Amino acid sequence: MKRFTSCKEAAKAVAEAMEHDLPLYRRFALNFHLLVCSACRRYRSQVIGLNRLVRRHVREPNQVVVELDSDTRQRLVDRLRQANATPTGGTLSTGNDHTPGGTPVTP
Amino acid sequence: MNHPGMDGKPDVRSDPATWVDAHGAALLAYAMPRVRDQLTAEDLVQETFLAALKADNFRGDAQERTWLISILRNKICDHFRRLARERAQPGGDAVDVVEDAQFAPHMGSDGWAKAPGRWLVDDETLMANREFWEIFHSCLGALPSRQAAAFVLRMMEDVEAERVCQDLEITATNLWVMLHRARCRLRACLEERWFTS
Ligand SMILES: [Zn+2]
Repeated sequence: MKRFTSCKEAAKAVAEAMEHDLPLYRRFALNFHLLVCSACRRYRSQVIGLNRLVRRHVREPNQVVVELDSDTRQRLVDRLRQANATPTGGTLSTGNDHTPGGTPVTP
Repeated sequence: MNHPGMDGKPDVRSDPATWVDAHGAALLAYAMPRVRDQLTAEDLVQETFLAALKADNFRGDAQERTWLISILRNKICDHFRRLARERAQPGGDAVDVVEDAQFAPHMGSDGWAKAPGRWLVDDETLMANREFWEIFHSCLGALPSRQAAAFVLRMMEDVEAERVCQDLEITATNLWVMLHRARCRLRACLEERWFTS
């Protein structure tokens, strides 16, 4: 079947429409394509579903079972104690570090 | 659990172990779905604790968890910004072979090389399925790093589009094209590794 928009273009337009409103003509072309093409309809519902799942996934951390095993715990504690004991690394009153994590940190 | 601030004030600065016990698992649980591998997640949690220890506005109250998470969130964003900058290649974003491979010329127009299959699983089932998310993270980890950075910052961290464009030094159009390719790859990867096996 000859279509105004190819499936490749349609898939791209689906993504663009997620970021901003499409110009009228392109919206019409996309909607028409979706009307006649079940593969792109399915693609669209899958990527929209994926967005929805990913958003829930990062907002419902309970779903991720993470346990602090004793090794990990010990590693974290050791490194923190070390940094805390070193005057240069873990000074408590530098006075100029007012934005923790706000700026890129070079390791 | 001896949560600092809840009962008297065991000073975290004198022994960080109390902090690790109170928030370590929660911070790691926050970082893991975003960065995929345990070691990176641990490093970021570590950096978060260190930054918090050094902070002037150090808190030992009930909002401590929220405060730590906000520091961690910045660390995660910084991590992806750094990754995107390190791996920037001139002209490297021009085409995507995986995206291209999804389509094949068909009667003078680019149709699907293989039409998307039927995904017969509902959201609730997928949300609760640990194996699905392991595969998802492995697929996310297989993305080119700039695509992964764009996807995580925009879709997972909800960073505004303009900010992501600045971070990755790309235009608004490049951003949605990059997100499109990321989704294309993720979808194809999930279909191959989860939905059809
Ligand atoms: Zn189509």
